[in-house]
Amino acid sequence: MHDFRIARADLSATQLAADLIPIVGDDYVLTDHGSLMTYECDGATLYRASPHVVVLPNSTEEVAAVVKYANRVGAPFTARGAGTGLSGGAMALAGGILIGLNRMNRILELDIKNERAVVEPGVVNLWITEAATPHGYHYAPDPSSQKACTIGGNVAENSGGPHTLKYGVTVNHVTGVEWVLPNGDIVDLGGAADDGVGYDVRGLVIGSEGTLGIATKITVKLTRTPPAYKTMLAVFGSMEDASTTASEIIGAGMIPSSLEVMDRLIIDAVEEAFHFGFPEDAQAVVIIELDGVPAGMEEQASRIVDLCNANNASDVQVAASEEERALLWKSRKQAFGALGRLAKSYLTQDGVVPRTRLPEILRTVAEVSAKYDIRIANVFHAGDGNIHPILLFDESDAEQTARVLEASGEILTKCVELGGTITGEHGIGVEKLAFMDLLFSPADLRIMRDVRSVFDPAGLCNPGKIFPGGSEVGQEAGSDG
Amino acid sequence: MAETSDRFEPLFSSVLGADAVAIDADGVASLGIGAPTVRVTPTSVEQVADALRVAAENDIVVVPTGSGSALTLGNMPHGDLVLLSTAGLTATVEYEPRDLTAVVQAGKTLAAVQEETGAAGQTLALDPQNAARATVGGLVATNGGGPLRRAYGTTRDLCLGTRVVLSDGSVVQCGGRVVKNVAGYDTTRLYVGSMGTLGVIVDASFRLHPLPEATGVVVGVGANWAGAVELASLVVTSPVEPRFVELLDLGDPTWGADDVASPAPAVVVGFGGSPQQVEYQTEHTRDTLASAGAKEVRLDDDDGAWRTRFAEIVHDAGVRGDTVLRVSGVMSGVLPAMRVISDLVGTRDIGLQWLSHYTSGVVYAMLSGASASTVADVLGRTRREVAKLGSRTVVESAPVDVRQVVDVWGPPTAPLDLMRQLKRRLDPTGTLNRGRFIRGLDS
Repeated sequence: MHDFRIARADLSATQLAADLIPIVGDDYVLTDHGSLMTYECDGATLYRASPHVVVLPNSTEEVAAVVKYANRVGAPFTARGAGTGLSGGAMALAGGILIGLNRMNRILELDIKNERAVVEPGVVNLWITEAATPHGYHYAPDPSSQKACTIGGNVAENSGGPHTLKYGVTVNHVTGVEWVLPNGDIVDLGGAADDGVGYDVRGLVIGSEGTLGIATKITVKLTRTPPAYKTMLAVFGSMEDASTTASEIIGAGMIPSSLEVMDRLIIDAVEEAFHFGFPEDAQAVVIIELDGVPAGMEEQASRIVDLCNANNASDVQVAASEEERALLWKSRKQAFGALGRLAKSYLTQDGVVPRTRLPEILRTVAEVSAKYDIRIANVFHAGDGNIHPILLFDESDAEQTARVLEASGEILTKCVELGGTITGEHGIGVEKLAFMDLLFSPADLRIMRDVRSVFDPAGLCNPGKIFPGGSEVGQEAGSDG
Repeated sequence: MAETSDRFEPLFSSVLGADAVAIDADGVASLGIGAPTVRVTPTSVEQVADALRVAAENDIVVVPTGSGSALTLGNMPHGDLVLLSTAGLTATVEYEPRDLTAVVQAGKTLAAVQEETGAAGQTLALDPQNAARATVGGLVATNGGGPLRRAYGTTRDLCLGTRVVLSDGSVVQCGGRVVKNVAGYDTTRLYVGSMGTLGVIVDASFRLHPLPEATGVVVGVGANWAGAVELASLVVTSPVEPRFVELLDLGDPTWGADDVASPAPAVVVGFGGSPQQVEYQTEHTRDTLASAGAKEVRLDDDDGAWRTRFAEIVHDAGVRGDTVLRVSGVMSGVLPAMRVISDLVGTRDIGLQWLSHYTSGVVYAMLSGASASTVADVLGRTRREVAKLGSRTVVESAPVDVRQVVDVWGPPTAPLDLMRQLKRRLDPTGTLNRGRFIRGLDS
């Protein structure tokens, strides 16, 4: 296993707590063992490190004061939203101060006439859509965890979701952020206007995985809710046919709003959890959603049905009601969680390949599964070429865990070979540190380190993430024992 | 100054070969240079790196250029200049239509990209000014985009990766060529819109879109600009998905509506998709505009001519020697920005032409016949007034005498200090476009 650890900061939790209480108040500084356990990992449960202290600020000023304090005493700090991330981005690798942003959960402004909302980082993704829906708008990026994950986390990870095929990812929907720099200064990186002047610093910090500062206020674009939807479920006897169909739909010049594939293992898990009624003989299903004006939708749907049939679909169903559509999406979006029924632990991978290479990468996934004797479930954004092989195992079995990590590595290596990348939406965090060198040359990484050192010369802001071997001089891989 | 080019020419020829080096005897008018100027035209990434090393070692400032059409954008560069032309880098590196992505070299024109992708029924959905001549490198350097940004965004949204050469000669790949990628920092974003100040863009990969089967346009004329804006806002909240929503004066000869007297403030709404989708949406929009009391509603069953004119109007104004101001904000800032500029121009003898990408909050004001001092006055006041609404004003194009007296960019959107430090890290010798971008960046 790649050693992701870095030296634990030598700090006194008691002293940190005593100093932080005047900033955020007695109730919002946590040092008890139970609280620290809660915060020792995010959704990437294989990677754990406990902070010295957790603080829960309630304003930009409090965040800035905590960060300034961290700088004074040389304490590493890590921001965290809902902790649903899947790469270890939101855990305090070197210990120090974990800054939980969940109390900053206000929707500050809904500016419908300009198609914008201004929100705090702890606002849950779905809340924006819920607030905007009565006005005919929604917030487009829809990660599967959208009922729990926060916008601050989405900004840090540049999150995607099933509907990014048509609508794009977080960075395409954020026009401005109020940002606490790693030195504690509060700055504005854009506002409501889409166009900025000067370097696109806003674009640079989105997806920086909490290593360039902390978003404390976010201006997002609202998107018109489409007047009509058509959601289809195509059933296939093989993954190959399913992925070929997905590729051919795009190749035929159609861009559905989403194009999602689930394999037999996933179907079993979600069927057990949600009783959608997926056919028992299905080896793979494709969820295809069209949205837009009602005119012409029927014709486009029938072209898609023809393509499915030409690729041996055994059945193509159309969601007959909004309830059926909602249940289908619930099944898809909660597929990860449903896997808990199939194995004690699971590791969700996140590779991307050019869309036409999907059948090839899926063959690799199947081969890797056999080679390492690890069950792998597949659910993925076929339209984007973004695969999510989910490796099922038992975390308490060290030997099996080692095989899972090796199997993951083999899949990601193949993604890079096929012209893709090692993460489409989950981030590098600590989980994929070992693969950065596979994708990037020293020169490519050098300019990223340059960026890092401009923003965070002290190296205190979420250290140990993204950069293999550390991003700063003197920060080397090691073990805290 | 003639000796400068005489001195520089052999420095570059000895490394790149004589074929890659030329002297523009008349200088570069759009940069206000009358003396002969060296132009290097590398034909490989390695040659770009060599040229940059030579420049950095000799404190020569490099101005990267594609078609040259954006040379009127930016503050006046400082130092002894050479032009680095991307005209020798015009290959398509990779194009797999079924992936809807393409990697092309910086000197390839957008028109050539459209021709190649169009043959496969696809398009790079960017329609910046001067789309006929603009190059891929220019698109990336300026974050090019136009009316279609309502549906597809700007270069920032469609560029998946870019390869750049830093001034020390190192070659860096930013991003990649798949549509989703969050590995490491999104350094592509740093380069898109960086005005060639952080590295020379040598290729870029893009997300493509299918060409629509059909297009259609609906034009509604308002009683005045406020009326046209009201019509536009009704379209935005109606159940249709326009590809563009533009505001313009239909009576302006540019638009070819000879039967309409100026001013005829109008909203021009474009649709694309299947014939059924387009028909439904154009009819719906015609009804929306008519029932909202538009003075006149017109339909066009093809957006080609409109889009060609959209892509030329601002560029042509620049060629004429107009000063083009570009105000960027949000939708509710469009009308106030137009009012501010109209009031400032007021009774002065200045021609004023408009184009607005309404939904993106962008207004172009093309001022003709204005002296440099008048432009400076109008710009300064506009900048202050629209800043109150969160909008920013940039000089999109202006003659040399104007650019010598105004700050083209105004205050940046993020702290100058961060930008300055990024510039120092990535171009420590200050070789690239010194002085041309944000004021204070190079100090």
